[in-house]
Amino acid sequence: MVHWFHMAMGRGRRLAAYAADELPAAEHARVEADLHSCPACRREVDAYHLVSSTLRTEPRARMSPEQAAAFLAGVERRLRPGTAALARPARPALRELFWDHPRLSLASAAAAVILVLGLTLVQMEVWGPWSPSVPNGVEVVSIEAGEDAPVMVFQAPGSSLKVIWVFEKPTS
Amino acid sequence: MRHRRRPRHRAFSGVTLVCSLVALLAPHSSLYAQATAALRVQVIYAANEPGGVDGRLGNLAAELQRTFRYSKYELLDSPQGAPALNQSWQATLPGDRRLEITPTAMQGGQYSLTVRVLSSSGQAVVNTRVRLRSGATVLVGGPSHQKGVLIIAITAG
Repeated sequence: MVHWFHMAMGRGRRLAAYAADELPAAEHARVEADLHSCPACRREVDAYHLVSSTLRTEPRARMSPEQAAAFLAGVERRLRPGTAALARPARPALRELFWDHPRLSLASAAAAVILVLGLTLVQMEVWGPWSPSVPNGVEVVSIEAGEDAPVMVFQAPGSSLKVIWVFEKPTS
Repeated sequence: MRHRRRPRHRAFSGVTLVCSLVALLAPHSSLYAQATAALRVQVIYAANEPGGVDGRLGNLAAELQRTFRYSKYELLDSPQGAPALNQSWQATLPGDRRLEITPTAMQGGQYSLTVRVLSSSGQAVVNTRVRLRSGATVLVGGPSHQKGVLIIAITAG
């Protein structure tokens, strides 16, 4: 709880400065006194010590003068306002997600090709969702007739014609 | 000189872009022009009276003779039309009647048609939905005319 309060009050930065031995003597003594009442703060200081000692013991990166010059030029170019690097948003844009992602690109391309092919075939009447078999090329789906006109559907033997026949009363 | 290789997957994104544009724009192009159903109608007078078979009936005459027992088959009219989907097409029939055909679906060389024979008062003597393969013929017959009947042969495609 005490540690949480310390961190909320900005003690974290003071702890880092204490670990780096960058505080004035009076401040240094005050922080050291605080560490006795805050074991979590003490652990944090130990962690800072560990990180800084690790960094100091790692071998230093070496660059040739040409590499160093190129590196600095690159940094300056990026820092210059109006450059493409600065203009790029921190998060990947939608364009980058779809343009640069191989699987998404392939899947979306395949889906688009199938969509266009399907639309074209349907519109050209080559393919459709229904394709019933129509015997003799004719199928009577439904039929309605007037009240005084009975109706029948028949096909004569040996004929390919399907007939819808309305029995209408003869006119005089 | 070193050339940066363009990642292959970016071509897929290009394909997506092009196909999406095609899908968006194609419905307005001539490829997707409004389809129509070519309809051929033969209005035939059939009766048991002298007259024989009209030579203009062609192959249909033999089919009619196999199906019916009339002695006379006379072609009265042969109107043709090409209505668009869900658009009605009408032809006049003897006796102040009308034939009304509406294509309701056209896919894969098959036509769904609503066929109505309307009386002079506008009442439907018969109202039927048929599905025709391209080139197939259905007969609607029975309405009386003079001393015989009318036979209407409807061919789609």
